[in-house]
Amino acid sequence: MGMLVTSLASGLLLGCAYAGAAVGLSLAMGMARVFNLAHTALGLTCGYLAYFLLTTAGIDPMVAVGLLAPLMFLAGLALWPTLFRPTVRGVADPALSTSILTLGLAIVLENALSKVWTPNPRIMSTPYSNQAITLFGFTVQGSLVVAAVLGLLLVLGLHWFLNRTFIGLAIQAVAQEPDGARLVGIRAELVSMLVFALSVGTAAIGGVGLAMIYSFGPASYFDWLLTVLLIVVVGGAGAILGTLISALGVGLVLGLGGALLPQAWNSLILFGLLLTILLLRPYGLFK
Amino acid sequence: MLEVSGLTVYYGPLPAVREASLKVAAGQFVGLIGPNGAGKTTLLKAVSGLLRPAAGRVVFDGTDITGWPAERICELGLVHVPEGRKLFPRLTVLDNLRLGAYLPRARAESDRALKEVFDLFPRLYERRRQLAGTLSGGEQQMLAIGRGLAARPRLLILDEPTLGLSPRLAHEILEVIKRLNSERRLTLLVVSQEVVHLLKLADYAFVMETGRITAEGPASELIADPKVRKVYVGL
Amino acid sequence: MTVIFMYIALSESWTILGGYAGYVSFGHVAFFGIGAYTTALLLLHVGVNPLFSFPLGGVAAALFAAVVGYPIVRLQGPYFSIVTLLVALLTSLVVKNTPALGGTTGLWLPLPDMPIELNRTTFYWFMLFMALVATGVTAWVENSKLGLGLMAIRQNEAVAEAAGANTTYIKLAALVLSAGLTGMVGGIYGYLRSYVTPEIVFDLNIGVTLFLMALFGGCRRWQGPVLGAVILSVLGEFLTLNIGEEIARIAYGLCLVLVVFFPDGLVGIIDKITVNRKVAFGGKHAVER
Ligand SMILES: Nc1ncnc2c1ncn2[C@@H]1O[C@H](COP(=O)(O)OP(=O)(O)O)[C@@H](O)[C@H]1O
Ligand SMILES: [Mg+2]
Repeated sequence: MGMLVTSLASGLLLGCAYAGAAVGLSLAMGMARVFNLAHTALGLTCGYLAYFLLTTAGIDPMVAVGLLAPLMFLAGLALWPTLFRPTVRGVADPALSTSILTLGLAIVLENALSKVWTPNPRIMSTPYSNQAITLFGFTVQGSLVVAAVLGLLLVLGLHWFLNRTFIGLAIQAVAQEPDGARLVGIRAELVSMLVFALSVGTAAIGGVGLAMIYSFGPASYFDWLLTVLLIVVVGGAGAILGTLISALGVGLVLGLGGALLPQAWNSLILFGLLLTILLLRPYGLFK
Repeated sequence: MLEVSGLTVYYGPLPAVREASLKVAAGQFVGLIGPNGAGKTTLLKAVSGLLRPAAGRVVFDGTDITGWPAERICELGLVHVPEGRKLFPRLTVLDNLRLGAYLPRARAESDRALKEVFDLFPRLYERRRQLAGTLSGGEQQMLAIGRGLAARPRLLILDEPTLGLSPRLAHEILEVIKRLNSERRLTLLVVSQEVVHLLKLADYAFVMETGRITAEGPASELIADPKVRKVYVGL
Repeated sequence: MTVIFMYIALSESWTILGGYAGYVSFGHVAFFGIGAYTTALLLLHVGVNPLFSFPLGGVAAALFAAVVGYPIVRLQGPYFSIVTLLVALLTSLVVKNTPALGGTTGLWLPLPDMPIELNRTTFYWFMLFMALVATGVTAWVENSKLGLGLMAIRQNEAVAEAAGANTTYIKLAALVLSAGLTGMVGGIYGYLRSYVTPEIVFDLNIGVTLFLMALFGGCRRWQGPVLGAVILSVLGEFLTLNIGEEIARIAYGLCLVLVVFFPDGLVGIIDKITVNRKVAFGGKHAVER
């Protein structure tokens, strides 16, 4: 019983961490028409960079996130006009063309990581990573708590930004009715670029979060991607709070599954759930 | 104020507007009528920058705006309330109006603009916290006009503001539009299927058929024109 | 060479649905693996040589495609792609956890009892045969009624449907045909490797490489995948031997990025160049194109 409750608690924390990894993809899919299969690969790259900063300079991953997220935001600004804008504009199915583009990017990143850091798995060990923290009577891992807080702050921050700032409203306007947005003077093109850059910036936060929880190798992005896709598809592309709720659910399933079932079953549940949902509700998830 | 000359617009290989020319003078209320599929919407979209014309010129207040993107044209004060309204359905009425005043020029006066819109359409004030997508058709039309007004237009283009409304509501909307012109000296270019009513209120009108402007004249003369009567007023 | 022929066969098969209809399957390796396991089981339990039974590998893959295909081909864009990928992952997962199929260790196939040289040439000829068959079938589809339907779907599925085409049926037929060819290739490959394990025959790298080659060469016409498979196999082999496997994979990834900017692939680029030349010489054909 005690173990069950603890795994429930860590499932919820895991969900928060995954929400951080998923929310940027939700934004890109729902508001910039980019089906970004490289989202978690970008996050994983940041995970490796944080690992590098930690092992060589002793920089705490929480600090590293503060450096990497703005850097990735800038990278997003650079990637949009060069690779993504031509892939989205004037294309019959932007979702398909961006998914092929980003599959290519993910493969490039995976193998570049493997080249630089070898295929061996890495673990980010900070002073708090294995420290047991007692929260409301549950004992959970320190790094899990940190990753969960990062993810939760990210999601709530984005929610606030999209609904309480003028730029956020403009972003939603472009997503809901691009022509209407242009007619009130919103430069839809710039807004898409901003959304994409935000999405890539948040990939850093989510990726470092997951890298703090799991041991990771160059191919880890793949399982992360499927999990994050499941979360986005269930939560609804572009729905920020929907992503959070769906991530909590998926976190619970993974947390419980991890505690109760052998590894093969976990993959089966993940693949099976994603397959079922895509088959049952393929449309209407995307505008 | 607005001068369109020789405008031609294609969808793929097919022209939807062919060498259309029209003029709107400052302070005027101009109507544009014609059967469905004549190319009225296409013409207006090319004027406001949603579509790129293949040939011809659009001059607004002495500035050649041909081929400019919509967002820059809006900045000049040429505001288009499109067919189908194009509201932001999952934002509130208030946020839709605020976004109408998105550009710095309009944002500076957005409080006053909002107040004016609410005076004009008290129903919108009652529903200001509701999502735009949940409004009735008439309310949505009011919101679309309100959003256009919030952008502080000098020329307001309205495409089918009466579409899908009951005749009573349609007339009500047209009366409000007329007041914008007579009380606030707002220049208007309006498309509507309520031909008789529109021609009664407008100063001048153009008739469009299969992509071309086929007739024009003071609205009171057009309404008396037997040809126009036969096609549109055959009621 | 044998590997080049294999990839020609695989990317040609993929093109029937992925190229002509634009339904980009990420998971074709499922059919490949099913073909491999089918012939492996037939060898181990019935004693039939895979070099005779590989068409049955194709039949098994085609049957599988027919059973699971119906809901899948109704999905669109990347949703179709992701679901095909999941099907491949799930198939592999099921195989890994089925003791009768050897689990993760897979099945070991005793090689044909003949000199190693002869062995090599045998597989060489069989893969060449499959490359010719797949290319032939794909070229035939291109000019058939099925091909017309598939291309209409790529151009505008709603219009094709409105014109009375049963698009679901057309896509399903293409998927089954494509899966069948892929399964036959898999049936030979398993024997070639003499080991059939989930890691080897459900390798996602094979699944990505086969369509990457088709896209790169240009998958609107049957010539494209041949071109793509030859060029990228050679490039991949060269990079792997001289610099490293990771660099080869990075090059493949970059090709996938490039493909988005040249949707008609190499064949499309070549077409453009030749058309421009003809125009420059005042050729008549160019105008008619
Ligand atoms: N997006 C489009 N693509 C192709 N053809 C269109 C499109 N929109 C309108 N048309 C065609 O252009 C012509 C003019 O349409 P439109 O401008 O909407 O006319 P109106 O507003 O006068 O009813 C019609 O024949 C219509 O079918
Ligand atoms: Mg119209």
